[in-house]
Amino acid sequence: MLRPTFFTAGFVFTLIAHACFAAEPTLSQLDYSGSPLAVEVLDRGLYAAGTDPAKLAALEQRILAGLRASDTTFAARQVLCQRLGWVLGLSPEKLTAADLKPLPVMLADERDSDLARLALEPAPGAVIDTLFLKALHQTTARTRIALIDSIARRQIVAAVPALAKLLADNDPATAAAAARALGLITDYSAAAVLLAVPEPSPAAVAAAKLALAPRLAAGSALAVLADLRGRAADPVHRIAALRLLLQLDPSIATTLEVLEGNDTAAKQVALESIYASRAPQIIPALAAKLSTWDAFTQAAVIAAMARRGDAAATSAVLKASAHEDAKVRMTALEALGFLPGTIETMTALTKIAAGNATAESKTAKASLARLNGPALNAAILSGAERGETILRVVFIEQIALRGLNEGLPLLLKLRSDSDVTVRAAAVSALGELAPPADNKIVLDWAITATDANEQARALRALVNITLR
Amino acid sequence: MKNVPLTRRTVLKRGLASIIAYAAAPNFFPASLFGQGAPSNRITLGLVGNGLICNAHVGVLLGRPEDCQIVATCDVMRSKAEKMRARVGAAYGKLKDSGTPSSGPDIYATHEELLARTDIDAVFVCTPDHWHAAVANAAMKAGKDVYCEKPQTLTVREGRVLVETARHHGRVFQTGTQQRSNKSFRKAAEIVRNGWIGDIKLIRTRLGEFAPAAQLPEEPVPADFNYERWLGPTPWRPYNALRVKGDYGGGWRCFLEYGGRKNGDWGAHHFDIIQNALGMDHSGPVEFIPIGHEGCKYQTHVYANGVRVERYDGEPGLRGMIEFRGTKGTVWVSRNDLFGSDPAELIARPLRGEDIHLYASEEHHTDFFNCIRSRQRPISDVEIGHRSATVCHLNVIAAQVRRAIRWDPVKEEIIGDPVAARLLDRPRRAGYVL
Repeated sequence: MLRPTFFTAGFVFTLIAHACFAAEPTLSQLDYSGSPLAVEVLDRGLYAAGTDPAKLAALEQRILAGLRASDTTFAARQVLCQRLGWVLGLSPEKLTAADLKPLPVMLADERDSDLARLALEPAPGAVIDTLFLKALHQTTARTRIALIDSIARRQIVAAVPALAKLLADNDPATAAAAARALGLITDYSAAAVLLAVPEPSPAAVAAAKLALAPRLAAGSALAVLADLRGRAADPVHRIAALRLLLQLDPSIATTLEVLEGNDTAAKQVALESIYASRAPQIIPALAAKLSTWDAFTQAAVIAAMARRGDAAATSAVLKASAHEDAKVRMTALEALGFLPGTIETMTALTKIAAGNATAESKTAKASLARLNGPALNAAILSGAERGETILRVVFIEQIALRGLNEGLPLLLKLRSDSDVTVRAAAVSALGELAPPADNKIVLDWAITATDANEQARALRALVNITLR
Repeated sequence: MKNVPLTRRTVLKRGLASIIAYAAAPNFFPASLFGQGAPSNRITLGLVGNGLICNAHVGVLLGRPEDCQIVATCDVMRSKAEKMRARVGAAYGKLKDSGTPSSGPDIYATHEELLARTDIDAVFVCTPDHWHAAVANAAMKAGKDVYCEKPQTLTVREGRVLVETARHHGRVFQTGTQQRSNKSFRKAAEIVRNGWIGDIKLIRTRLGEFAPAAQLPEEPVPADFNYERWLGPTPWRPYNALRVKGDYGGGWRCFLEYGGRKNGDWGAHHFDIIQNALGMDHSGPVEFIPIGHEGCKYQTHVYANGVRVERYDGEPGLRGMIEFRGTKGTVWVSRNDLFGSDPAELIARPLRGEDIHLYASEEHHTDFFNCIRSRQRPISDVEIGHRSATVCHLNVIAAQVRRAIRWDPVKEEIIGDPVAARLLDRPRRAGYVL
């Protein structure tokens, strides 16, 4: 049978633990500057107990006995309470309030309450919940606020009526603590207390409503958040409510409504929300409305769509890369590098990259280097081999920028291209990619080059390869 | 933050060029940073905790007056705060034409008072570890962005609270694991992530060791030091100068009440790089084995795919602070760009377009400021910092209970060990709730 074995093991362990304590009787006289050996003995008992319920129960009793001794120092009680918090309530035996003496008295004592909470807060059980409730009515000020925090962590639903009363306490810190606790206790009775306070509510109540809103049923959550968004006193809470609303509400109507408005802080939130929005078809909806917004909003929405990386945005962003507004064009060019790559995107970026060394051509080049998609590498290699010179130069540069080692044979072949611009670009690209084994070829290229620019680039390539 | 009309003014100092495909693109532009003249484009900062690491940050921040302005500081030791004010005031006083005021930042005795200012955009949290979560949490709830020193937290549960607050309030949170913004550490992680050294079997990292926490006699509390507040949520202990000393070689770092000793100190950096290299930024290991448990020679944590990470402070020494050993090679990396690989050419091998490119940040503060302006998540985002700190804390817990513990990184629970599970959080002293 388990029970006799349990008690036998517990009895034996108690003897061992007592021996440990007896061998080191100074635990009760522990101070902060003296020998720590007594604590080490206690901790050895803890390690030896492992997760064995019988051994933990014996240890628990031993620690409680230590706490009951009248001459135990504060330092010793602190250590005992800390260790008790690790093991209290892990035995199968149900504890009673009497078993937990002297903790109930300590809990309500201004000086000892912190110690008692070290032991009691982590340990589950209705008996301990009752101790917290009782102490709540016996304390004030900081001690009471700490108990309220423990009550919240323990999710003591029975405390809700008391917390509801404290919501109107004269002490603002106590009222705020009560609100915070009600926001953390995951029971509808706690939510009901908070939701009964109309907006604009005190800051702590609004913050608590924000904390509980995600736990409510969808319809209730949206109603609470809409109310906070419209009427909370603190703009920080109004914005937080909007953010949560956009996270929970799969409809994109709110996003579009905010983007069309003039509230810049709200626009920030709406734009952020695009990235993680669960609303189906949000990107097509944004793409459809894009050109109706002012240039700045367009640029911001394009950037947001890029962040999401959804292919549905590509067509609208490609169109925006030719927008009359420079900021919109630049943002679109950058965004294209983050969206799934297509041949159409690659072609558009290449044409812009081939322009004079403007900011837009540089941006297009960077986006091209980043572009990822099926068959793009093959298209780049093909474009480097034939076609309009200025486009070929861009493709040749991309062989290097994209680290396309498979393009090395082509680059070497381009040494005999009839176009000097192509040859110069090819040797520069070789400088970025070629292994040291190709040094001789590049040296030869430099020696035999007839064009000064081509020769200079070949020499530079040689240096790059050598240094690498 | 003041609500000013949007303009077409560009606030990004750098384009997307440095943000590789893997990273998020910029989003939009915070209204508060638009204005008519240069001063309104600066990010206004508050400092909480004016010790060693804060002074290191201030050295960087003072060198970029066009980016930021320190307007407030807070420390529980008045003399430290006054030294900080004098230092910052003297530096700003020398900037004649920037429009920066010459007086130093305002001093506050508590972070709550500092956070009540509506003109502060972001806060640097440079307190000892036991205060990180409370200050960072309060800052975000007050609408500030946060740069929080590592390790992000003192307990596992604190980290999840910070993530939730950051997400609910849309705050930019940068954890101070600046190694992520170093190109050598990033390249080492990319080598691992792209499989260039094959499957990883073993990773070793060197953390060093602090002296044991000492029993300390009580001393008189200095007149300008709010020791009660310094203790904050931790259990009361009598004051001793060695307990509160901010010393990279020891001081408060030796005490588990205030930090995770070397697991929290250097582990926060190296475990973080390892998480990044293994692609575990939103997960973590599944087992933590303390040194000496069942013959285990080194403190070890193990990932679900079998990768073992050993804390190795023995001889022969490692070639780098972190050494990744794979089936096809090895890569090692340290600070000051000490970086090597076998095969040797791996460290110079360029990334192709289709390779995994990790988030590239050229400098940690720059990344933070850019993300404040663009509202994207920074390189050491709050979730990433929480997951890395969790690795530190679980190693500490395993050492405290002296046995291996198993961890569920999805549920964020310790499996089958209710004693160890109690250590995932700690009761807080009255007056210092999270």
